[in-house]
Amino acid sequence: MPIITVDPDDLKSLIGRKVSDDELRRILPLNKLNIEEWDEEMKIEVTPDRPDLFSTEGMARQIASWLGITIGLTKFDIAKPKIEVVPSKVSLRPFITCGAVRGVRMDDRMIKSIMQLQEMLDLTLGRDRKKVAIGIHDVSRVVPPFYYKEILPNEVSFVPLNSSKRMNLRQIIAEHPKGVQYAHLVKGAKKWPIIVDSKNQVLSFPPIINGELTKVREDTTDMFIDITGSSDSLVNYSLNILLAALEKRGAKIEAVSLGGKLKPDLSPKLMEVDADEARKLLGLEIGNKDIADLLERMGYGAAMKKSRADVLVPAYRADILHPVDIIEDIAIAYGFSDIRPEMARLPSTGEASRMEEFSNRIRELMTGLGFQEVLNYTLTSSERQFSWMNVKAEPVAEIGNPMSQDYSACRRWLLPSLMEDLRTNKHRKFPQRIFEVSDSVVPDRSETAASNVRKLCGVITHSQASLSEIISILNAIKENLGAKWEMKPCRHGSFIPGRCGAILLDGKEAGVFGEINPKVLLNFELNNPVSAFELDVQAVSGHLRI
Amino acid sequence: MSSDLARKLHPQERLVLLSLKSGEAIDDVIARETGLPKASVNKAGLWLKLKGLIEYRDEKTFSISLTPEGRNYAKNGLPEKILLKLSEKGAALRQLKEKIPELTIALAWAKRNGWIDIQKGAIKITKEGKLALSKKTETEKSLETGSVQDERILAELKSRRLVTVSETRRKTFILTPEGKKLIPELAAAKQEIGQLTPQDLKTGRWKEKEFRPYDINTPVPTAVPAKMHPYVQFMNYTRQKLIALGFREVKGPFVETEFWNSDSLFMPQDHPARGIHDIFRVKSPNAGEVRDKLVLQRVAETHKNGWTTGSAGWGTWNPEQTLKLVLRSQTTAVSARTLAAGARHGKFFTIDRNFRPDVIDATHSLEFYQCEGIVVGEGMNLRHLLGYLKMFGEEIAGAEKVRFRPGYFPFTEPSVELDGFVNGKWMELAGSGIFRPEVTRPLGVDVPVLAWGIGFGRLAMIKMGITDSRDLFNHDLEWLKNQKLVI
Repeated sequence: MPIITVDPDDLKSLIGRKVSDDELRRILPLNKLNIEEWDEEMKIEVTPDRPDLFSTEGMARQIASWLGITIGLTKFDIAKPKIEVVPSKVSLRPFITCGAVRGVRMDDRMIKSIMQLQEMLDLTLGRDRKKVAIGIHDVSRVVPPFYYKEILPNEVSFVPLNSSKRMNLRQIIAEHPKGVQYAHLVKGAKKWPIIVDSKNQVLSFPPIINGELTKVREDTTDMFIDITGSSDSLVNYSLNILLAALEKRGAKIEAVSLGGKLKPDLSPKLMEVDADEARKLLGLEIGNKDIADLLERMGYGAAMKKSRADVLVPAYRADILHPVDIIEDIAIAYGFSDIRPEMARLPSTGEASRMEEFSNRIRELMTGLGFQEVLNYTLTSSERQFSWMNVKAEPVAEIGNPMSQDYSACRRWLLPSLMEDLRTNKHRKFPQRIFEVSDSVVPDRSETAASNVRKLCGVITHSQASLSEIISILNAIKENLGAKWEMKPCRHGSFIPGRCGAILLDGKEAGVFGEINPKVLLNFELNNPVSAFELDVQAVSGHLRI
Repeated sequence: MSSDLARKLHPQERLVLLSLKSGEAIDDVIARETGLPKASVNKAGLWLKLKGLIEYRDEKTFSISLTPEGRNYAKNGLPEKILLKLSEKGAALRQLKEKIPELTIALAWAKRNGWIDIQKGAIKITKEGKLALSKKTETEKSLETGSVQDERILAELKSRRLVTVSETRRKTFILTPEGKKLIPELAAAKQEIGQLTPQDLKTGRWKEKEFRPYDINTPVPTAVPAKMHPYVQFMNYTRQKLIALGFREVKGPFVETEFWNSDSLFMPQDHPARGIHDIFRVKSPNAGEVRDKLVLQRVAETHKNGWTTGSAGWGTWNPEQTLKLVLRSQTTAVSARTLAAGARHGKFFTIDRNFRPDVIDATHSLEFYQCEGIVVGEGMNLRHLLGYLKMFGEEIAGAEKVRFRPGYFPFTEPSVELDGFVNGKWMELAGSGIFRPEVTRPLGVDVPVLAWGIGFGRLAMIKMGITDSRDLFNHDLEWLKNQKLVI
């Protein structure tokens, strides 16, 4: 989740009334703002649905509203456009939106907060600049109109931000740190996006880097913002969030004429919320008037028409997809600390899954037989499952993006895991008897092309571990479960030839047992004989009609 | 004082002392009489000697064993005796040479014994010789019986290398006057029982005996029980609690389609949690199916434009991506399946494994258990959700108090975080919410669904008293032995 660094004094002063530390500590988590650290700076974890809270300004707006200091919809005054932007077709990033602010009084805290907001928007809403990339410019250095267009990578050169060298776009991708970092977003395309002014000076090479020319400095007062990307709604939400934050700092928003259309559009969106629906979902006894008040305390505009609320959703709220999103905000305004829990009357009978219940009976039986239970990862490697076990590879669910080869496939059987466990315990006391009851994953013709199959595996190791010992265990299992299976000699690479058997349940193979082949013992670096069995618990449970 | 001494005697000491009623006995005899191993007799003897109740007398005895030559003579007779017998029958020296290989030895010993005289090359048997012919000599007897009484004979046998001699020491225990005084008292005292035997019970002998008190503080090795794995114990602990609260357990597969893992939960297809850094993609098999075409269609529409849910939707949907296979990254997928399978009223839960790419360390794992559930029913609301959360916090996590915060999950609205005050500090216990209409409606559900997930690994770690999440899957037998039961 996004972590936002905040200067607590800055936050307090933006809220607009004195708030004590204790109060802040209590209030912030009730507004989806969780304090992770609080030294000189605060580190606040913000839920990812609220990009409008990714800045000190946005948080201050929320808290001021929640506390009732400045309630209702923020009215944004937008000055007439002075800047014109001429867009043209840019296949790589088809959408652009723009805005301008004037009369900004920059200070260190503000620069930090706005830069952080820009980065977080690029990262989250923008999916690391893929869907949204933001450029902020000192507009006094360039001459409108500006042009958004696509060019060949070596057609134009300029000095990128934090550099002193003039480079063309291809050089930037190869040399500039940001260029290298984001090269994948333009590579492969024939033409790359660029924003230039009327004198052909470069403002930005989106989504990679701005020009050094329009870098925002402490004496910057007038700014131009460009936002490009692959989603029209997301570029506009990002612009609105950024402008709302700047407005909170006292900046005057100025429209930009973008291909004849005025941007930004900071007008609220209307959404209807059924007050009865809200009361039903929240279980709160609140009147229509209460609902309107609570909505205003979350920065909405609200007008009640009987039990219907016409809600004006601020233009910076990117997360409102459905009336339930607004209903949640009613609960937040009410205060999660003030909502009384209630026990539901929903009679029902509890029950364990039959497979888990059966597995537990088996666990009791196995511990009774002196076997210690172990628990192993599902993930292992094909090599361990098959070549280490001296058997031919069988189909397994294999991972395409494993973290390491050791954890690159789901186990199809449990015995290799238990062999690993014996290796881990090779210097512990003998005799050792361990078992596991877990799901294996077996590719099949089901909807998911692989299913969980519950299995039981038991192994015994000591200097005299033998076939008869494991058969005696299997007999105990069979008799105590009341299962009727047959044992038939079989050949299996993991076991010593002539000391290995298959378990036949209703004529189908449901398990294997025997003395482990010395080749396998050596693969697992074991010094003592091992006898083992593996049983398909699912098949047994089917056989027993559980 | 003496009776105090008697009482403190070890049972073996008593047995040994009582076997000395006659005043003294050899250790072998004592062992036979008391039925104790000889080592125990000697140990008891040492204790008794230290208490001044007996004295020792050490004696040496000899035992002989025949050499091969000795065995030969014992079987076939001494060569000098054979010489004597043949000579008596008038055998000439030449004939004797043929019949007796050790003729020189025979002649030497016959002469030394004074059995013969040799005159002009002829053997003449003396009076002693005649006597020797009539009976067995001491030497012969010794060879046959394997025991020697006479030192002189022993010396002869030794010098002729017919026997080897080994020396044994034997110990005689002799009662001191102090010891003698204790005997009547010991004989009168009831016998004590150490290990109660079936014989004692059968014969009723235990009634006449006294049970010797044992020292309960004597260190003994600890027995090692076979146990269920502690994490499994915790799963069962939680399972029992949830069942008692009326929840029914449901299961789902590890390999899952993106459809059930994410799409049915209204997570946008480009959601960061669905990227390759946050989810394991299954390479082979490479694709699954969604056989319920109606649900598939509704979910697709909901993503595209909100369908009839009243939502704006995400504006996009890729029908191929939904069929891709992943390793389940959240058990919420099981809840979605449960709803699709027709759950319209009731409480359901699952405790199972999930998978996410991560570096394995003390707080991260590729594989982790989650415990999730849903409450489905007409009229369920946020306050009911808080009611369940409070109960989980108190019942399962053992929290002294709980608090709620708004949270965020892509599939719930409103969303709630549960904190509990556990072991003296606040900790996050559960995430929850009410499923969005974009989740429930496409699955055919028109009633509210409360959904929750417990921070299962963390709770287990508290209950198991561990700080490293890798120990949740620990299979070191020594560690497992030392791990307490989850109660």
